[in-house]
Amino acid sequence: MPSLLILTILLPLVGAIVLFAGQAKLDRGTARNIALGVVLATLVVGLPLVFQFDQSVSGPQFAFGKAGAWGLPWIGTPDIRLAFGLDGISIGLFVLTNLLMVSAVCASWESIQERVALHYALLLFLHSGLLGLFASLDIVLFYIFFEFTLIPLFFLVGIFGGPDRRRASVTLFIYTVVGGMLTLMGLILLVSLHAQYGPLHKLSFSIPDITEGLRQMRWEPWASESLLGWQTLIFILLFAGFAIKVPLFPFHSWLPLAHVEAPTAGSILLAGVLLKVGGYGIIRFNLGMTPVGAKVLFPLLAILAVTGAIYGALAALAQKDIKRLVAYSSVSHMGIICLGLFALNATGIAGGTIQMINHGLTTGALFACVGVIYERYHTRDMSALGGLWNRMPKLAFFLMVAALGSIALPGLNGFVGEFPILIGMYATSPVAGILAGTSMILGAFYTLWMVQRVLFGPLREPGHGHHVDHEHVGSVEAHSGHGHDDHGHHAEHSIQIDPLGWHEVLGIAPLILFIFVIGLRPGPFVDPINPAVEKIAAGMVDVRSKPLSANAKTPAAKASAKPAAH
Amino acid sequence: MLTTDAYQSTVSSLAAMAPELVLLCAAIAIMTAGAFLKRSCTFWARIALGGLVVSALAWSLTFNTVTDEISSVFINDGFSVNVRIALLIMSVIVLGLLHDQVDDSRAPEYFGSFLFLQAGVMIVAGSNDLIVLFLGLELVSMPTYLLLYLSRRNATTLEAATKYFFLSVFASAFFLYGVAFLYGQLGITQIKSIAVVFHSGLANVPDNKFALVAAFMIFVGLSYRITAVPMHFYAPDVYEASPYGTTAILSWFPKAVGFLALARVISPVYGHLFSNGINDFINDRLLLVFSLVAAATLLVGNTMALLQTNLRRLLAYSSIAHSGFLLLGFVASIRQEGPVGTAVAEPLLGTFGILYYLVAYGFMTLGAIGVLISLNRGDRPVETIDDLAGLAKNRPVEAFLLAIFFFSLAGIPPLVGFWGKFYVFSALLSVASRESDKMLTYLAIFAAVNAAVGVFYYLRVVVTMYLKTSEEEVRGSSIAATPWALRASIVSCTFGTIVVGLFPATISLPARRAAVSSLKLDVERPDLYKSIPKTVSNAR
Repeated sequence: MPSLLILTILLPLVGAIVLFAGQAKLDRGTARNIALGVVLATLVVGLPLVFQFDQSVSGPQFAFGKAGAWGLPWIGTPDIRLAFGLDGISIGLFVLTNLLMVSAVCASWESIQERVALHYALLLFLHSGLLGLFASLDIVLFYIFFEFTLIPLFFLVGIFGGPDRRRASVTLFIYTVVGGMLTLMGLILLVSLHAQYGPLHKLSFSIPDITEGLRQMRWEPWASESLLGWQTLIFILLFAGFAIKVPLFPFHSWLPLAHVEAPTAGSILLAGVLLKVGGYGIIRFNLGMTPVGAKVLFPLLAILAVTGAIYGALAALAQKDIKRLVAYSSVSHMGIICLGLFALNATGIAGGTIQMINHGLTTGALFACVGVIYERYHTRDMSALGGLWNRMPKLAFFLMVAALGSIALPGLNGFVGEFPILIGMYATSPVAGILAGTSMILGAFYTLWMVQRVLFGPLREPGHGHHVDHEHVGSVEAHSGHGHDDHGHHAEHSIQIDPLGWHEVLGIAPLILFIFVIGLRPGPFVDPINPAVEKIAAGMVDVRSKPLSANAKTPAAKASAKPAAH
Repeated sequence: MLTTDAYQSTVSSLAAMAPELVLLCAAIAIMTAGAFLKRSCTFWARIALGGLVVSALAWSLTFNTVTDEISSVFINDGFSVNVRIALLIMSVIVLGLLHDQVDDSRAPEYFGSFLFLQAGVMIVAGSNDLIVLFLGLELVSMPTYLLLYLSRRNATTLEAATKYFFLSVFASAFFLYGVAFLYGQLGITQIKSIAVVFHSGLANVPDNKFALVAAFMIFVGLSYRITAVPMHFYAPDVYEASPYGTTAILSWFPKAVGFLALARVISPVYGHLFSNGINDFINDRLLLVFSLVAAATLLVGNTMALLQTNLRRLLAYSSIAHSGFLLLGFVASIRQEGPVGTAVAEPLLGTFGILYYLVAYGFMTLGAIGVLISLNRGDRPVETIDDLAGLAKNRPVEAFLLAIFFFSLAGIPPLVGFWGKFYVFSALLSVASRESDKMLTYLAIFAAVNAAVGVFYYLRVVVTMYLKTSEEEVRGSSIAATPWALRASIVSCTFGTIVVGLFPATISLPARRAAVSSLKLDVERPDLYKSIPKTVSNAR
């Protein structure tokens, strides 16, 4: 099994190298066939890992070595190792990456016409990087993948993106690197403090070992709850990189730009997987290794998350561009996910973890649908679109389900995550819980409004160039049932609207399937998460149960919040 | 007084110095022959390569020579052995870049100077004596004046050479003054012996505050070579006025020699002072000043680089910025021992970080300059960043290589530049994880923000190449048509940047050996105090 895990990570890398090296020789058809073959193969090869996963174990699985020396030797001294393994937190994201990668390849099937091999090579580099990132058990290895994913993403947005792609890709890169460098400082500090004061006095880079060692560390300044204490400082450093990735409220300004300018495949992966890297990092490092910092900074974190959730929702409400709307909805949803993580109890963290997967599925599907629309109409302006249900019923169904999933309709996947998040947060801070609930209501509002404008009502389709107004009027007047006929009159001006191709169905349908499956039978998806999350939450409880002066604030906040609830 | 011991240590020192002597002989031979023979540039480059190869052979024959670490002026410790072979390999790469960049008429002097310079750097790496170290430094400076002047003869080059000359002499004076203070205090010049005295806490030395002055002076003298702020002003002008070949020399050799000298003199000596805990004030003040210089160097290098459009000036400021990162390792290195029980783990030594970073910096910056040289062979010279617009389309291989080198300079993993930064930061933060040195964490954070700023200007080059288009094509021969020597150099640098990035142990093993041995003090040796001068013990 350990070799299978490494094989899963290497497979896309090999595919990427083949495509990259063969750029000049491969034609479009071959390149995309290779890419699809590789991502499907990776998905299949990764499947046994899911079925073999032992749900009762909290530590990493499928890893070479054992505690104290995970993985294979790599650098020697210092003992940075090639350590890969999956636990309950990472396995879901690992599989999600494999799944969304199929969608990403399918979404670029027709839309990418030039430098096709390069495009798929970049996608596969990104694929390998993300799998490695989620599976890393070594801090340095994790960081390498964390930064490495930027390079393919940068070129993906920069070369294949929309008109403002250069600014988008540079903004994305700079933002992430600024945060990433600070995160690196935090990671190195964790390693060196652990080596200096840890129970074993051993220089180790292993994530599970350090988490364990820091928990057992008996060194007075480490537990300090002052704002200048070690844990608070390291928390902020780590958080810098992850908060930008998530993105949390004041650090989000790269996101709408990057999402809108990125090609469809880029948007799917950005929203579906790359934002989760931030959440994953917060769980793994911020919560797992510096619980005191999380506790000290809780008020600030909760404010940021709530502000992000509400601000993102309001911004989404104001958008005309459907892709921008989905992008801002990501800001809002990620705010809610962070709120679950910052609840600092098992319920909230587990909810946040499963919600990351849910959000990946729904947003991935939404972006894929938007891509389908854009490919056909070359517009994302909602005022120019309408009644698409009549034209593309399959797409309409997909969009509808994804939208309902994202607003947490019970029975679909979003509910499975958002409900525990609210419960978890309410237990910690009722005010924040209630405000998060507000943002969900806003979320339902803008999402349904978007669905209404795009899918329902009379058929409206934008035409070409100067005929656009004429077309516009014509289609608005037309009875929706005769939309197609009406369209036929303007055949020479209008666009031939193809029904969904097999590749588009292949890209979106699995996501829709999982939206249903997770919603209807959440057990198998939630259960593996719990042991790993409970371990992290246990560390939190240790910290929270300590009698400390700073704690006096929490009951007061609770007391004042109670009346507000009624 | 020439005792048998002294005689033996001289003999073994000379034997250990064989590679340098070979280089000096080759340099003299080239310069003399140049007066009589009219040959092409590549011919002289081949002779110089021959000199380097014979020198490497001499190294392989003598690296086992045992030298006495207390009394010898030139030693064969792990630092000396590992660093010198690395220097030889690097200079073969530089030679490949240079091999046809010089006018035929000036080639013998140029390559002669190059070998002198190389010998100087190697002498600094192996020296155990302040005077020999100074000789090595001067053996680097003087040929550099010649190189600057020989590469082109116009007003700007002349100005650059003059500027370099005066500032360099000024810096040498500082260095010598600092050495004089140390000698005046202790009456000895052997570095390891001085370290032993410092290790004993300078308790027997009157007016030991002068040790602080000495360290400052030496640091000021060397900060010119490493282009640390405020001694950096000359770098952009000098870089801009020189052709790319000379820029390659300037960006690698002076920086290497400066940091090797710092690692040889300041780190072991003042690092051991701290371990004793008696004269902490010296170390504390040094730490403060060095940290401030490092921070200023980072800030100036990175922010000024943002404003540059000329590629050479960009490289100059980038070189200043990288000195700032290297200085972080240096700051850590004077603090690594700390109070008993808090010594920094061996893999995270500051000196190790410096050595690793230097090699990494060599690979990436020489590789980048190599690609620029190859692009510059066309009829349209590449001077500014905008000249690279659309390179990815016209010349994909060059663009790809340049992107690799610039990403590595920016510190993006898994390229070698990342490991350089990682080790330097690890060294600094291991020191900072002591409660008493927690302030260094803020230096590290400041540096991290600067590193992120640095990414911006490196990225600008990549963006220009890949995401902008140009009407004018970059013409000239493609990389496949460049001479094999240039290609071999670029390929080695690419190899160094990518493969060493994936398997960092290839460099880190020798670098760690070197770092450990440069810091090791054999204080338990019975005959040790015999060679420690009487002045010190007689002082009380």
